[in-house]
Amino acid sequence: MSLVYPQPIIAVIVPIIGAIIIRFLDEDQARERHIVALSAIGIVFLAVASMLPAVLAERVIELRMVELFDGLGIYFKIDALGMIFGLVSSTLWVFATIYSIGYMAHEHEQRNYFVFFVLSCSAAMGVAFAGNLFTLYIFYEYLAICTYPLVVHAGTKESVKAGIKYISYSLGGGALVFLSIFMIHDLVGTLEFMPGGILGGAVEGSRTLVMIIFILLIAGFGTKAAIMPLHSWLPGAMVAPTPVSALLHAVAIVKAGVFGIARVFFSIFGRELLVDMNMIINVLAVFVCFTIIVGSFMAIKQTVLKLRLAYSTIGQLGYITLGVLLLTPTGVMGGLIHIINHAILKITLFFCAGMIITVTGKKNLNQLNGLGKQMPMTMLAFSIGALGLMGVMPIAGYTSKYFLLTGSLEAGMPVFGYVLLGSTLLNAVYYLPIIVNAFFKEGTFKKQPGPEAPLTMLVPTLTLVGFAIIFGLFANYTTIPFVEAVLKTIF
Amino acid sequence: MNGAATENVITSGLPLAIAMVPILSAALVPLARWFGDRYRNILVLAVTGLVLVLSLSLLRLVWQADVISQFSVGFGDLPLYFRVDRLGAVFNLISALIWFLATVFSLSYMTHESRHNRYYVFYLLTLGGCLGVFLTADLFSLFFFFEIMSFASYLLVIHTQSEEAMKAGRLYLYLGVFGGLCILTAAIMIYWFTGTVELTPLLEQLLLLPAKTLIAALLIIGFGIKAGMVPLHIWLPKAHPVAPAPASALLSGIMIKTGAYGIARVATVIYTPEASETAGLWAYTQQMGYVLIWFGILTMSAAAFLALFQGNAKRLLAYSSVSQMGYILMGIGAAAYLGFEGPMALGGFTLHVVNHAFFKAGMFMMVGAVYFRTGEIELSRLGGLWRDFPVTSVVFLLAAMGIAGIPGLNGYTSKVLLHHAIVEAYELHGSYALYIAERIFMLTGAMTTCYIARLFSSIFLGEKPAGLKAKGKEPWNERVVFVVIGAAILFIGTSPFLVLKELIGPVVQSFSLDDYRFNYLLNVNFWDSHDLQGMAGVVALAAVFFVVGTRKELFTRKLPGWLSIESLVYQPLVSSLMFIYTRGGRAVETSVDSAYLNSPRLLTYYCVGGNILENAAESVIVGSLKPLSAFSYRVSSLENHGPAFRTLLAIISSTLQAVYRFWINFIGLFFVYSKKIFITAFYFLFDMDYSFRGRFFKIVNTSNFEYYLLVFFILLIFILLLQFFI
Repeated sequence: MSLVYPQPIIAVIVPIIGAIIIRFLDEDQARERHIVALSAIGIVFLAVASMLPAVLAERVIELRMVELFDGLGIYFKIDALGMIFGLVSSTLWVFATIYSIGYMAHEHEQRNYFVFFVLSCSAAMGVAFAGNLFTLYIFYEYLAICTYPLVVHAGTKESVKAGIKYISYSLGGGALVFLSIFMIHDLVGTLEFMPGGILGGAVEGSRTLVMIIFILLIAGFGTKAAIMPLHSWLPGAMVAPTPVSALLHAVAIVKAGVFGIARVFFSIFGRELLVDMNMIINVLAVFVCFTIIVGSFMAIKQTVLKLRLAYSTIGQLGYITLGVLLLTPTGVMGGLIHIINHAILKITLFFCAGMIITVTGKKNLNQLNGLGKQMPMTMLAFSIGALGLMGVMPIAGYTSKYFLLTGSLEAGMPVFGYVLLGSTLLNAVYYLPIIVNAFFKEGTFKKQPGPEAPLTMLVPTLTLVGFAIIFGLFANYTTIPFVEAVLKTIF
Repeated sequence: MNGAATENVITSGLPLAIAMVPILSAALVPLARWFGDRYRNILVLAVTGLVLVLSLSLLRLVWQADVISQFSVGFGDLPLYFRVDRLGAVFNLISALIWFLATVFSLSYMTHESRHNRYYVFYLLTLGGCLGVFLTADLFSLFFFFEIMSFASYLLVIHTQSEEAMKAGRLYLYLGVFGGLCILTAAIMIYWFTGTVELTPLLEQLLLLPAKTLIAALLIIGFGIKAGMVPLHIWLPKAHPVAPAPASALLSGIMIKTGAYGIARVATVIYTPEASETAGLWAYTQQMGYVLIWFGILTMSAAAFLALFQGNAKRLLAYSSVSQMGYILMGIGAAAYLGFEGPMALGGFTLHVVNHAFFKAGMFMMVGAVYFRTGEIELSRLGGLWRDFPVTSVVFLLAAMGIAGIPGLNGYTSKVLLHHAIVEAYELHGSYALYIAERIFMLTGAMTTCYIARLFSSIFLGEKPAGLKAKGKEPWNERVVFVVIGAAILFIGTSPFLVLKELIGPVVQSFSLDDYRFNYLLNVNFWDSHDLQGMAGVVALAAVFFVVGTRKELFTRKLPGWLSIESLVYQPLVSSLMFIYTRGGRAVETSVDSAYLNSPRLLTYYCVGGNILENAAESVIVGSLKPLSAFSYRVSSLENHGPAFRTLLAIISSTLQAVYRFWINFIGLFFVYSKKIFITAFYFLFDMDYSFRGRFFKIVNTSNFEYYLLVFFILLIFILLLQFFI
């Protein structure tokens, strides 16, 4: 047991302590509550960021905790892949916490909200830094359970219904992962993530079993990653307060799903084994393509802004899964880079949607005509985010599309490239009318004196827009080297 | 760019400056507005003037050797890379010139429009994007500027923000995005397979690919959308008429040329073999050219036919633009088809691009000037305006005769070259199909003459309808613009040999094609009796069309609405796709949803013991009554001992039966209600009701989740922290 790198455990425990402190504060001690929440999240961010140099230097940080019995135990291991998810979500958690302070100012039960908002950070960090499948599973379920109160925060009938849906899907997915844990443990006797996979040696004679494990794991993590038949909880969960939709349903939870898939692919199965199992990979690819196209079509049909964004998320998550599925360096690069790009861009869009709801109370798309007059900065941020997701040049997002396209060519599967092409067109069809109507249609909105939205909401949003542009312009110095460090461990 | 011309190049910042000056100064427009509208107008005029001067000097440079400049941004190994050859420089110069003229025209025209700032910002952005397209050396840089142009010009299309404009704009935007994506995909594929996206001959490498035809198709579709190639033209007749007149002039006169330019680069540069003389490789280019010729023929004839029936002056001009793009496409196709022997076609389409820019931009501006002062755009409500607009009507007549191809005006010269090209193509292989193409070419000429005559006569000639009043004449700046355009039309028309030698010859020369054919091009006799006879025939045919059409009032008839490629193919396609996918998605969603939503219910069933437990329990309890029934059976044997016993037995057995029935009912109800209670309790647990309804409620309900979690987490932290000390 070494104490050299206590950061993973800090990242997991500090939010829990923060949540406990918030729990013992009074409902009307807003100032203290905000300070505690921000400092807890800030400490997590610093802890995660301080591990970055070591990870980029290709050193693996290990921290072995409780061992229940032979191979099943809490075990943290930080490698570059986990670092992507950990760093992205802890960074965005800081922004979302600041944003929540502004958004929740007029909501009820703020204490309850912040307790679980901070707690889920600990769960997400646990998912990111898990060193074996068991730990990953524990924190995966933990994440599902402590985000449940956030989803049903409104307390209305509709939200309870959505909450039931959410918890059934999540626990259902978790159960499948749990089942596969024992199958893997039975098969190879270990659950630890290894760079080349652990199932590689066990295939002989138990091919069917490995196949079943694959299906179970993909169905389990695919629920959170919103792969098409299992996606319906995500639009339902949009009844949550907007910061929750922004952070959890565009970044933390859904990315935990795709991250889980990537983990399973590269640390449990290993690339060689998957290349062997190309039949089932192709079947999965068909599902993912279906997700991308149908998700985009469904997004066109939505009339509520947050729902449209939710369906867009479903399609975009498909990109990431597709990239991982390609199993070629460039394709995986595209998928992993899209984790970063999509997180930043989609959270920006949700933040804008939240500001629109806070300031004007409008949720439907047809009520937003001429909004650009009243909230120019918000709509500008929205436009940049939307254009970025479409893959317009100087904003982040085009890099991932470029790598995905070349990756599909590299894999000799140009058909995936055409799926991306079609989906990009559909992205344009559902994003551009929002921008166009807000800026160029006449509406009832008037320019208001003072800032267009609370500054605690506007500033994080605009900062994220800045990030999106920096990551687009200087992709060569920011996102690409980071992801290349991951690729070194896979290929 | 081809062959020998690549040997020596000049490095100069001029191309970079030409593309970036308008883009950067677009940011200055709102600043200049701060000092006053006047200063903003001066700024825009100065910028377009500067671009024109730079373009002129660039042309002079390019006439010596190709010009390159490089500017690194973003994606490390793919910088913005400019390389200008003579073709690009000519496109660039003509665009800068027309843009300058349109700016001068805008000064007066825009006074009756609002939102000047936005207009000028995107006007300049579009200029930068458009010129950038002509100057770049690789497909990625080209795509970059192409997209800037597409997005910026969208703002010009929807400038009036009327319902019609927004609708047209939406189509424009979607198709623009689609086209851009096609180009990008093709560029990435080329880059992936060949390692370069430069606009250089790549046919040797491309021929090895299975996807070569797909790449070509993607590129042609992508550029063809912008060029208004039938059947991808549907946005053009909608989007061009709704923009303000100067913007329409630029859209129709210049911007659609970027599409033609792209197709030309694909067909005559990328898809050509590196060594020009290798005959075997030209076969692929030739096939491509053949397809393009027919697309050109289809475009020119279909659009010219549709133009005959338009009642709106600007829409008529838009259809005319599509038709004229057909000529250009046919020229490009012929150039590719003739391959090494294609100087005639190359010269023809280059000259036609220049000519079309002048007369079409001019006509849009002139129609705009009339509309500005009369408020009328429908042909049926216009007429007899030549007295009110003397300069406009004269120049309009020149432009109309130019587009009709009357000898002595510019359109004639390029049409002669194009006609020679198609005849050459026909003679090269003796293909009878191309003979038909040549006939359609002539027929289209007649239709063009007919619709343009109708446009001119219904605006400027005939009776002036009651209520049509012109507010003032055209001001000096518009007259200057029109006179310049008229002079250019006359100049090219009257001195074709000079233009051919000084402008077209050098452009074609840079392609290093067959010398014999090149000399043949230089020595074309424009006043050849054969061509003049052909032209006379066309005019005669047009006169017949015109007379018959006006007498029978054919032109004012509306074509049925369903008879368009849009409502026949595109709309059903899009709506059926939409239907299939959204309904399919919805079906998947609801079925999986109901499965998951019912899962808690199932869970409760099984937790309670479900039906199995229910039946088991029931049988146990019912079985417990077995001894009782055995007892009653034994008692019933006492039946024979007399009537008193019988009555007693009857009473006992009916009581027992009643008890038994009650017991069974009770058990049944017990299970029904207990199931309900469990289900209610399950949902109740997850009911996040924060309102306080007694202590018990608080403890049981999961809104009190925190308490349980607290206990759990304090334990967890304790355990985790222990690890530090053990």
